[in-house]
Amino acid sequence: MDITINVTDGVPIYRQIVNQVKYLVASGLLKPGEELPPIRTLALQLKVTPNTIVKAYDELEISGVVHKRRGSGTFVSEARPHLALRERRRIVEQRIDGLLAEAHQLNFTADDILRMVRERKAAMDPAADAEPKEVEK
Amino acid sequence: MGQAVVDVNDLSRSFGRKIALDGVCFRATAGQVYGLVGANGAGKTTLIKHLLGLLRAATGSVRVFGFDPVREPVRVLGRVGYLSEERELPEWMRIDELMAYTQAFHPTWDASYAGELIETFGLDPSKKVRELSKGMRAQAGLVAAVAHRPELLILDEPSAGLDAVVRRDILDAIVRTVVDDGRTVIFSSHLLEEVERMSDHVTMLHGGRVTLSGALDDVRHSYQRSRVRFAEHFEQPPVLDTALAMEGGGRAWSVVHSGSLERFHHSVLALGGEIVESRDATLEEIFLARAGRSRQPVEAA
Amino acid sequence: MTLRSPTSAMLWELWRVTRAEIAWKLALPIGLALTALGLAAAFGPADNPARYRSINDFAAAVALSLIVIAPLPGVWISMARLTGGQPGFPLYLGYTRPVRTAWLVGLPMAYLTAMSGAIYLASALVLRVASGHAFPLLPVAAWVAALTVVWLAAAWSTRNMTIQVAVAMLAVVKALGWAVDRLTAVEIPDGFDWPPRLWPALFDWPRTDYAWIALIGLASFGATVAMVTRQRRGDALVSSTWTPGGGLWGRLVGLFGVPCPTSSATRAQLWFDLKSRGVPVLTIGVVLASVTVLVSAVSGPIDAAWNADPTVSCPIKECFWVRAMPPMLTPFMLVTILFLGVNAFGIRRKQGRTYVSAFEAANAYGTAQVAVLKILAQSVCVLAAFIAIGVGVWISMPLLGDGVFIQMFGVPLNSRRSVLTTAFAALAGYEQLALTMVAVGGVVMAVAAFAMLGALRLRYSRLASLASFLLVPYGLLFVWLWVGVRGDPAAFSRLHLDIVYGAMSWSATTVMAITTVYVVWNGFAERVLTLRYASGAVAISLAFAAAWLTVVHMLGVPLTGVSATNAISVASLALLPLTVSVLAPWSYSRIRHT
Repeated sequence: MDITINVTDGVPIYRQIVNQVKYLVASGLLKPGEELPPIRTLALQLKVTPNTIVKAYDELEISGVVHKRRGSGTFVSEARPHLALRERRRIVEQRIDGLLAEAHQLNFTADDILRMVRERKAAMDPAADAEPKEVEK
Repeated sequence: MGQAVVDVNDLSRSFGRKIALDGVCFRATAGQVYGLVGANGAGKTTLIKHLLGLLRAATGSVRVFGFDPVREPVRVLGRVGYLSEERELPEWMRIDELMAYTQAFHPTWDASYAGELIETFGLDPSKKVRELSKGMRAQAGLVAAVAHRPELLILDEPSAGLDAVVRRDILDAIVRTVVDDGRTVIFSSHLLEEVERMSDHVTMLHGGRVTLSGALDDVRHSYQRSRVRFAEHFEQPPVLDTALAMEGGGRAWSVVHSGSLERFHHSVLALGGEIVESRDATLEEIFLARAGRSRQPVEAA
Repeated sequence: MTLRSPTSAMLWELWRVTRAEIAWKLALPIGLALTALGLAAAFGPADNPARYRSINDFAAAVALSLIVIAPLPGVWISMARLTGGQPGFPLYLGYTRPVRTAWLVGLPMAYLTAMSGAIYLASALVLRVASGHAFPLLPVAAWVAALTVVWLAAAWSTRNMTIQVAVAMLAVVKALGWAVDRLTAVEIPDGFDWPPRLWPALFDWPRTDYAWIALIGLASFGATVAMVTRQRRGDALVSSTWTPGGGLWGRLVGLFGVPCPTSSATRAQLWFDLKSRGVPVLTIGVVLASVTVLVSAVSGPIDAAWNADPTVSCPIKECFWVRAMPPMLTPFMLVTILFLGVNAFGIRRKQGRTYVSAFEAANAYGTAQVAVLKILAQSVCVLAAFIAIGVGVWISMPLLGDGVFIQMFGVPLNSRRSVLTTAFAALAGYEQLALTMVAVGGVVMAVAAFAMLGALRLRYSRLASLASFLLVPYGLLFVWLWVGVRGDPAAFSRLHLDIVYGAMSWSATTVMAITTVYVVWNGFAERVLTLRYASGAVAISLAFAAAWLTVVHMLGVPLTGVSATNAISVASLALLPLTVSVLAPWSYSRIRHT
């Protein structure tokens, strides 16, 4: 499982794991029914204490992203599209919040931002047709 | 969670006039990883030596597995694996002799695990300790400490002076020890990044006293690091309520603060500033704020 | 404080390192010498002027010996500590400084030599003023300086301890021989050796001697600079890191090829103690014994070849008897074994720090058990080494033949052997057993006592220094009186001796009794001692006491109707095993759990 942990950006490690697993599920890199690595393996891979992994898996189970099968391990829950959609919206909304804050620092208004988004999209036009199709999948 | 593996109560100890530990309380329950941090000379090694019975408690009590390590060295040390800071191993011993010798004291020795570790580390069993480099000594000491699957693993500065490869080996060993049910790890380290990754609980010692202790996430959450921008230029760090340390200059400052967030917000606003970003402080920032020399040594009330 | 040049910096460094040593090297000999002179003047018989003068002459001779020998000429302990007692140039930190090697070596050498000489000169001047005797100044100072410079050269030039010791011993022998030669060159009336009024004549040495000393100094300096240059460049056998556990001892440890038993903790710990400390001592003992036998075997023919007339005695300088070496060196061998074998608890010294290894202390083994195990393992090896040396001497006695005398007793060695055998065979069975028990018990107690004293000194260093500070003059006083009484019963009243002896016995016994009681109480409280152990210790003490009393009776010392003091001193030795057997684990507990 492709997860990286960053200790310096202030986010608790288990939260980072939770976020990244959610992202992987949302983007389809983790298929429904696929098994997550056992706690021990992931702890050894990431060099973090296993209790952190336990915490992360517990939270993922609470939010319904994964479910534990007793004795067998942890598995990604069956496909629930509205979950994926919610997750995708959340990720992009985070980016938008960051962009808006930065814009405010630099003395741009929200209208300026909207205008600039359209301008940038026009500049990327030749590739613009390909992109939306991939996201829909 | 479980019964206390280690219970240190109001422990004090001084050497001559120097106070090494002052009223230290420390509790460790089974199955968790405990990180000890502190400046050099803060008392981490002294505390660890008390757990092993190498030092007697002057006041207070020390109980490991419910026993006093000074009075019952066999009951306690038989279930403990220890790697000392100086990697004290007899210079004349060969690695295979070291393994055999340690095995005789611990009936739970797992010879195949020991052999596997030695092979992974690439150690030559016929080499004498004095011929080993610093990293190999740490590896040999680590094998001797973990191969009998101790219930409590105590590591004093396990990564000190070691290269990245050996450090990774040590972290592996810690993880493996904890994953096996019910085993506890206590380690002290200067590498705060490592402590942040590996600890469930963190205890910080400063001048022989416990300055903070608790679950890692709770500790980090109780300290916030905020980036603040002011309208006016400040030559000296501005005085902010609940702030512990400040860095930066001019109009942009980075503040580590703890305590009431409201008071902090109010004092920032009062000075004509705004909080740009706020997040949980990393362990290093907390450590530097509490133990380091910051520009504004303002202690929260 | 600003130091303006490399020279002043180096001198300041040398001063800081050596100032404490200079202080005690001045204070101790002067103090002791003045005590000797004062005692002679005070206690000498005032009514017999000739006796009085000879007593005072004797005291003056003792004083002179003290101020020459007590400062340990040539041996600078504080400098040796910089290298942890190993040979090699101690100021190796200066290798990376912009100083020429000749200066780096020459300045300390000159400083230390000058200091040795100056210490002697100062002491002699003080004694001159205090006593009025003509204590020699320049000649002996030059002798001390020469010995110092050669010792320093031996210690600094080589990393090999064998070479250092060999050269140093050779230097001492040569220096002593030369000194004796000079001193016996003048005729001495009255039969008394070297009275002070003759000192100006005795110590008036020809100029050529000083020239020789200067030459020796220059040669040593040159050799040292050459060798230190090699060290500085990292050539050949020299390196600036001292690997602990290496060298001869490490090789001896490696000889013990038995693999570590894993079946029980006791066996593993026994293996550890034997391999690291016990068997090397035993090996050295066996080697020394074999060398003794070998040398004795070949000494006969060698002496016959070298010396034409074997029966006429000749002065030291003119002939050299190989046959005399083994019996002369036997006491040194025994002392060496004892010296090597006393560190049963494995207390280490590294970079000025004394400590017990945390590896051994953190072992999952009971404190009292490990202390007893270490002591017993070490005692067995020391005892075996003693026996080996004894056997070696025993075998070599007939090889040496009747030509070898023990001068004091006027009896040839070889016939001594048969006397001993017949005497031992004449004893009853239980007496032989008692004698053996006392001998074995004595060795075990000695090892245990040294271990325990080492542990107590480690833990309570201030108290220990204080205690030894008080004990030393006491012991010296006792020795002085004893020597005086033997040499001159009329001058020294037996009463003084009895008072001192009595005080010593009573106080020692009281201290032992109080210590035992306290340690037993404290040991039980801390669960270091158990009832089983204590009863075992008591049983062994009783057995030893019985054996000791048997031996005392055998030697003809009356047991009944003696003064309380004598009874106490005999009884205290019987009590000693109990004290040692409870104090040893207790002291180990003090250093294992600091």
